Amino acid sequence: MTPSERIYRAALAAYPRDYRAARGDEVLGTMLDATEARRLPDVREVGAVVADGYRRRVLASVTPPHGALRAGAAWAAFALAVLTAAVAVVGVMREDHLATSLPASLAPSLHVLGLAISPWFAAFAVTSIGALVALVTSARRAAIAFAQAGVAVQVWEVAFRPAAGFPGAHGDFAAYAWTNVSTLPREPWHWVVPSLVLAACIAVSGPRRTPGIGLRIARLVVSLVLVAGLALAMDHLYGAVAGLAIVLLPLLAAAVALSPLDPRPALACVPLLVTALPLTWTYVQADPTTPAAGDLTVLAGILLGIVAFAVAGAASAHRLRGGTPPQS
Amino acid sequence: MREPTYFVLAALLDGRLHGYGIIKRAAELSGGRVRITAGTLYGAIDRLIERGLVAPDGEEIVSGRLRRYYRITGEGERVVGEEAARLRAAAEVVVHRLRPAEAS
Repeated sequence: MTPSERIYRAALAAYPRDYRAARGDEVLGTMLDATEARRLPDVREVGAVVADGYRRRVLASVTPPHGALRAGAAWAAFALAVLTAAVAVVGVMREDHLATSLPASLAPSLHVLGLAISPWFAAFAVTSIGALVALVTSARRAAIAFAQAGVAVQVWEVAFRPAAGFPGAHGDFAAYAWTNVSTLPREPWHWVVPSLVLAACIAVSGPRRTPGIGLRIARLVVSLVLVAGLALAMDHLYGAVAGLAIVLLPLLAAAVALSPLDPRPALACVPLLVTALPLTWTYVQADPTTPAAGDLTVLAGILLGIVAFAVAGAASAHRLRGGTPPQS
Repeated sequence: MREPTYFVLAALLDGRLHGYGIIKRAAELSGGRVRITAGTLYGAIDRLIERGLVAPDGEEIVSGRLRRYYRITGEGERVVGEEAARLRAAAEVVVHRLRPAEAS
């Protein structure tokens, strides 16, 4: 095998597995024929195959019917999760605001490349990034597995990591949130509810089956419970994140519940939201220098970004209607 | 219609070709200007097959490499003909104005 062939074969990995099995040899043969005279592999050929492979992967995840709609919803959920997680990361990095106010189990205890990282945050980051990468590459099962791992991390944190100094019965981040927003001593258990409901929802959503009216109603109920749980967990929220949560989460939930589409890509993002939102909120709240106008700008920017992302995803799915391998 | 797609259809007008054959023929027909990569080619071919403009037409193995052949369909000939007429009309809009004496 020549170096060119080795590199071309590696590039073919960009294609979805079934397409690679059906057409990989043919594409490779054409690449080798087209670059026979060259000693080195052609970067253009490699780039074109990787781009075509990515396009097909995106298309594989947005198969008709309603491919464009599905792509838009998936990308909106994805963008929302990424943005929220990004703000959360910034919040965790801003040790100066958070180190003194976070419970012990969440406080940054490790410094990597100047970033302050808590064990909980490390677990959150691994599951989030894993789920996002899996979503981008249309590896739905992996995305769901990562999302479920994220839920497990969160449940574990809430249930089993007591932190001293907070009046909540289980002493955790949720308790911290509660005591910060309310003087009422509340149990943080219902913080777990959305995650559990979500995990159940993901578990019951079958592979690509068209939902009947019963399943749609069930999804709607589940989504409303999800939103109610979030609202309970985040009451007294304010600032950009509150607006984001109040406006977008019900929309996302309703879209997922009512659409005839495969809800899993969008659902896989929700644990990230559930996990990242409190951190984001803490960050916004802990920063006394953030003016209200800044909040609005951030909120508007985030909303615009999400809408743009969704439109771009829907448009590309609409434009790039892929083909099927020929049966010759 | 995007230019690589147009030249893929044009290349097939003279008869069935395999992937690399299409790439070579498209380059010849365009005077070396249109250089189609394999990734672009198969993206275009699959869309053309889906639209019924091109059909797979047998395969063979030459020195260990799989070659699948493609031919243009009647519908494909019609669509590329319409595109050519459109391009000619668009070209004449300009040509008439640049050299009114010659073009008339």
